Amino acid sequence: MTATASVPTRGAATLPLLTQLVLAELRRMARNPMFAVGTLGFPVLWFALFALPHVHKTLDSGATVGQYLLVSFATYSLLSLAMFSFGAAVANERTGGWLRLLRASPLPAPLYLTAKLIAALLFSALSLTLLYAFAHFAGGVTFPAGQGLLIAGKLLVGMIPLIALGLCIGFLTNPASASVLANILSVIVSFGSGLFVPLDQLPKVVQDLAPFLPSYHLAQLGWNAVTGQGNNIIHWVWLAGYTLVCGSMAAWAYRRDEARRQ
Amino acid sequence: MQAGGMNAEAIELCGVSKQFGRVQALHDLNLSIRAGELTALLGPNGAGKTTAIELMLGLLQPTAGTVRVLDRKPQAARTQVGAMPQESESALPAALTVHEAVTLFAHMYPVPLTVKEALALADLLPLAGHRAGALSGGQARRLAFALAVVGNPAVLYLDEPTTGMDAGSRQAFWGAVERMKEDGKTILLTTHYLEEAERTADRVVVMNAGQILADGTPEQLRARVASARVRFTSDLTLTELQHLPGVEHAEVDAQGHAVLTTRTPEALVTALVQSGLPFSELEGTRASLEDAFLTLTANKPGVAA
Repeated sequence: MTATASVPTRGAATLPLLTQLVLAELRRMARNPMFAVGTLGFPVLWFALFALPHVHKTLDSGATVGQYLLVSFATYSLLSLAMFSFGAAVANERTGGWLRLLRASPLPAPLYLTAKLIAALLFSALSLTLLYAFAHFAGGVTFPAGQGLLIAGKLLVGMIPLIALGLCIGFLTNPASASVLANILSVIVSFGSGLFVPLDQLPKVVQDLAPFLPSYHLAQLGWNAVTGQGNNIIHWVWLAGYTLVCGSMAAWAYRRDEARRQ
Repeated sequence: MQAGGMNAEAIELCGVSKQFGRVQALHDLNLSIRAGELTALLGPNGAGKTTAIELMLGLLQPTAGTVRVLDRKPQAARTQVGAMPQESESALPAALTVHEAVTLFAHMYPVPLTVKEALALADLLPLAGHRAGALSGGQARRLAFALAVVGNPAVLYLDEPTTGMDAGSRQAFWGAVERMKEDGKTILLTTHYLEEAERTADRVVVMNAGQILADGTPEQLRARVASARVRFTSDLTLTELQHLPGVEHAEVDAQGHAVLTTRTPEALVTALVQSGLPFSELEGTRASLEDAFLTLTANKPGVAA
């Protein structure tokens, strides 16, 4: 511990505190076996079961089905991470009293959220790396380094509205319903967005509903990067809209919580 | 304003009311907590103790009145404040070790204690590597205490701190509180264990139904009741006991165990001896803070809301 007595005026140094908070989040995620298996293991498992048999087929655009499906399951992994890390976990921290303990401490609320965001993105990057490594070594799916990083970057930035949606769930529901919602949303929404089965093989009604789902737009960004086709603007606009709506709702729910007892 | 100077009031509540829906939790409360003192806030459940502390922490906003901590708004004083909330086991970060949790909190404050010092204060050094989620109830309370003190705060709130601690933990805990007091910290605590308040508090504030009933040193509060208990076993009936000199209240069971309340225990015992009646198991106790507390809160059964 540093014994240097700084001036006891404002707050503590921000960067070491942020580092500690991110570390605490990463430890929480890594030490919860259900969470680690669910967010790191399931995407790999689903990819092995559903995608591996088809990876060598080629699409009209020249991209391989393997690349396309890798993006699908990567999107699924980000969705489920956002739902569990920000939905179920925040609901637990809120009702358990951890958030209240932090609120009485000198920790500024934005720093808490920033740390959660950074930790989630780091964990997501790990999840994407694992998935890619598996697809590469087990199925021979390959991206040129630049393209791979670009897709991963787009997916991670586009994950922010999913995180906002997770926060909404975390601040609006109790822990029991939050984990049910997290499960349902990550499976049903993934299915509805065409992540498990390509949309053109799904019923018309699902195809019509898909463009209202944030993960559909996120996957579109990735698929477009694979095929080198399509217009991304509309998808970014949808994702920004989701961020705005869910972010405002989460902020409102946070303040409502603050004003309320317990 | 610098803490620890001659600034006499560390915390000031002026005309504070707090309403939750139709429930009036606090009613025009005026309370000043002097710097460097250990003040015990006593009262039955629902008296408004926790609400008062939450207002001082800035977790709640008063419906009316003002709350100042170290001459600032409560939110602005947080780097100088440590808090141990009531029954906070579920609030602790279960996945972190004791050492990691205390390290995290140390980083929130500008001039913290070392993690080791905080762990030693809370008697947690042997448990430093344990996960917070695996601690027993009493150990978890000690971790909550370590999180409250690691920031080296000028003001410390302890809400029912010893609930769930065993006798050994409790003794170590009060030793640590004593050291914080010697360090010049301002400490505000609520407790159900009145003998603890009696031993450690410089000042006792008794609350009921959101108002202050009494305020003074433990001695002053006891003096307000000014009665003693005399116990013995004899063949006297309840009526005979009630006619002994100075008896204010008498109880007796089928085996003849009598408990008498009186302001003049000496006169009572003299009369008993002089009566020549056989008695045994004589025992006398002065009024405890608990007696004072029970008398105070029983006489005023709450203000009509």
